[in-house]
Formats: sequence, structure tokens, C-alpha cells
Amino acid sequence: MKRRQFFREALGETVRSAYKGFDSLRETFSGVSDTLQNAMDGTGAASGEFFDSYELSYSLTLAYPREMFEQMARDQGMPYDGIETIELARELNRRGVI
Amino acid sequence: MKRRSFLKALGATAAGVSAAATLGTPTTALARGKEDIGECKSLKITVLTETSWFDNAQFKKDIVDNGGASTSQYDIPWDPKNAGGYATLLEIEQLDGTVNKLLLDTGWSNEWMDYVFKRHGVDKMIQSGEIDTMVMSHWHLDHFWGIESTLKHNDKITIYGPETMFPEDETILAGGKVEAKGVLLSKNDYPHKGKLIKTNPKEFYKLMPGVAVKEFDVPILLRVRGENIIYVNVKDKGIVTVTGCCHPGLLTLYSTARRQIKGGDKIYGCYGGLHISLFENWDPKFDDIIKGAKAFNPVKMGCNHCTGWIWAENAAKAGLPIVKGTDTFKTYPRQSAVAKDSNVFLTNGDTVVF
Repeated sequence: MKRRQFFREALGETVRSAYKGFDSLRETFSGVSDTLQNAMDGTGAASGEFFDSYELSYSLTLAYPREMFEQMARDQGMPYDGIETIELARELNRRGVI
Repeated sequence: MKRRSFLKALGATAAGVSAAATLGTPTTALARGKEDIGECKSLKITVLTETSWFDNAQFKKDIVDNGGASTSQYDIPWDPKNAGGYATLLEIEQLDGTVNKLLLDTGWSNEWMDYVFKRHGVDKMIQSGEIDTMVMSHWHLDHFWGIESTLKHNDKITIYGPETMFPEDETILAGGKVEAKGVLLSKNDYPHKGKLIKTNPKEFYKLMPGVAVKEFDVPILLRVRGENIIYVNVKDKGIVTVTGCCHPGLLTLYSTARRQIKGGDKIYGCYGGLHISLFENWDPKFDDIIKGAKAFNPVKMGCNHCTGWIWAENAAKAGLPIVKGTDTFKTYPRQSAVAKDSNVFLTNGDTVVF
């Protein structure tokens, strides 16, 4: 291999691997950035819909005695035995009762 | 989402935010696009009154006996002897030392609110214009029906209220009265002539540096919907939420601060009703709310009103930084039937500085 060819190939290889390195670096930092963004955004759960969980809806679904939801369900002709309060509340909300 | 995955997610968030804070630069970069509400030097809260009613059992009976929790608050002949009210005075010290005052809510019984306002000099602050703005957290009876006690001192006071008003709310604000089954519910002889800013969930309403109002459109019982939250950003400390009832839920408020407010990754605390155990009932799921709140690492939590003494006591035992109150409330003419010696509520006459 001539000196000039060696340098040409070596330089090309160096540039190619540097490029690959940058790519993987970019991917890595993009991953980090996404993770941080998710963290900064708060939890997925906490940004869900109100009736997705008790943690999001406790101020309605847990703050009042169960009997109050049963009273509303009864007035609507809805079954309530064995049904979670959050399910009752979601349905009552869907019907425009609350 | 299941309970376990919710809590796991909260833990991951807390860890992630710590990492972001350590790295420094990404936090700043990622904060771009968030709402900048500015900063203030400090926030002082005076609990004017948090005893919306005095007897939980009577309040509950009025609801159950009149059709239940889906009944409009305007169709229930509430026992007038049980009426108190909720109202808070905020004193915001700006970075240049100027102090601005703000009123949150105006209570229920005019007799009670007149006493409370006089006791704390709020009547004169409204008359002089020292207080020229009131934030209505929501349109529930115990936060709004005492509006005459405010308007009689200045009918031009600026009001921020959720856009989800009902005709009866408008009637009272315009100087009318409302009755149910022969019982006078609310009257106001001083029609509001000032600006009424109807808040919606899309905006942040910046009142002054470090203070913004945000409305959350959430279902609330007794035919009320939507609540305004006051976000305060205290320099070098972080975000403090000031609430009437916190119907949207504290965890939602904190995660909203993180997502939408510049500097909101640092939660400093809260003040107000947290609407957890309204009738002092206990559900094991309330432990999850404690764990959820802990994941945000608050430094100072002042709670009262609809929080439930039982929740506040358990939260303090579990290590949440619940600020204890004093016995000042005993010098008020009436006390809540559920008040306890544990003093885990900031109650009538107490103050807290953030």
C-alpha cells in the first residue's frame, strides 16, 4: 500500500467511525433527553384522565361516603352492589348526574 | 392504571427530577416552553376562616335528606345555623419588598364573614383598595355565598372566577337573593360592578410576579364544576399551591406545575383544603395519596377545611411536613365539631409563611 493510499483510506475510516460515534452519541443524548422530559412532565398517571384512577379522582370518589354514590346510582336505576365507587362515579359523570 | 404502577411512576418521576436537577443545564433547556409566572420573595397566609360549617353531621344530613350529592346546592334548604365560611388572606412580598394582598374566597354566612373580616381588618383593606382583587376558587356555597360581606366594602373589586357559573351564581353576584323551600340561602344587596374575569383551563392568569391562577375543569358534587388554583413561585424555594378545596387533587396540581410552569420541578408546599376525607372517613387508598405527595418532596404543607383531620394526622405520622396550627381558633366565637388537640390543621386565625 502506498503512503498516499494509506492516508486516504485511514482518514476515510476515521471520518466514518467519527460519524458513527456522533450518531450513537446523538441517539444516547436523545434517549437521556426523552427520559428527562418524561420526568419533568410528571407521571403518566398524574396526567391522565380524571376517572383513570383513584389517585387522580380521590377528591371526588373517595372524599365522600360510599352511600352517597349508592344513593345517586339508585336514583338513576343503576346497579351498584359489588361495583367500585370509581366505576359508579364515572358512569354518573357520563350521564351528566355529577 | 393500577395502584402499584401509579406509585412506581411517581417514584421514577422523583428520581428523574433529581437527576435533571443535578445535571443542571438540561433542566434549564427543558424548561423552555413552560409558563413563566415570575418569582416572589415570600408568601404569607392568614387563615381568616376555614370552618365552612361547624357540624359535619348536619351538613351531611342536609345533603342526604334533600336528594343526595347530585342535587343542586341551590335546591337544598341548608340549616342556616350551621353556616360559616372559607376565606384566606394572601400577602405576597415581591423581590423589591413591595407587599401585595389578595383575597381567596368570601365564605358563606354573612354574619360570620362580617365578624371574620372585621377581626382581621380585611374590611378596611377592601375599602382602602389595599385588597383590590379576589380569586373565587369555585362556586360552592361555603366559598361564595358570603359575597355581600366583600362587596359591601368595595363593589368594584376585581374577581377571578371559574367560567362554569350557573344562573343562580350570576343572580347573587348581580345583587339578588336565592331561596330553597322557603329558606333564604344567600342574599347580596351590593351588585358587583367591577371586572369579572371568567377563567378557563387553557390559560394561566398572571396576577403579579410569582402568582398565577389556573382553572381545572373537574366534576364537583352539588352541581358545581371547575376550580381555580393559585400557584405561587417563591424564589429559591419553589412552587406553593393555594387552594379552596383542591377538587382537582393535589397530585394533579403538583404534576401540572412540573409539566407547565417554569421552575415547577421544585415543589415547596401547599396551603388550603385538600378534599380528601371530607367527613372524616378513612379508606386504605388514602395511604396512596400520602405516598404520592411524598414523591414530590414538599417542604411545608398547611392544610385544613375539607382535608380531614384524620388524613392530616396520618400524613404527619407518615412523615409529610404538615405544619401544625395553634389554639387561636378557640378565640373565635364558634369552633368546628371535629377540631382536635393534635392541631394538624392550620385553623382560624393561624398564619404560615412560605
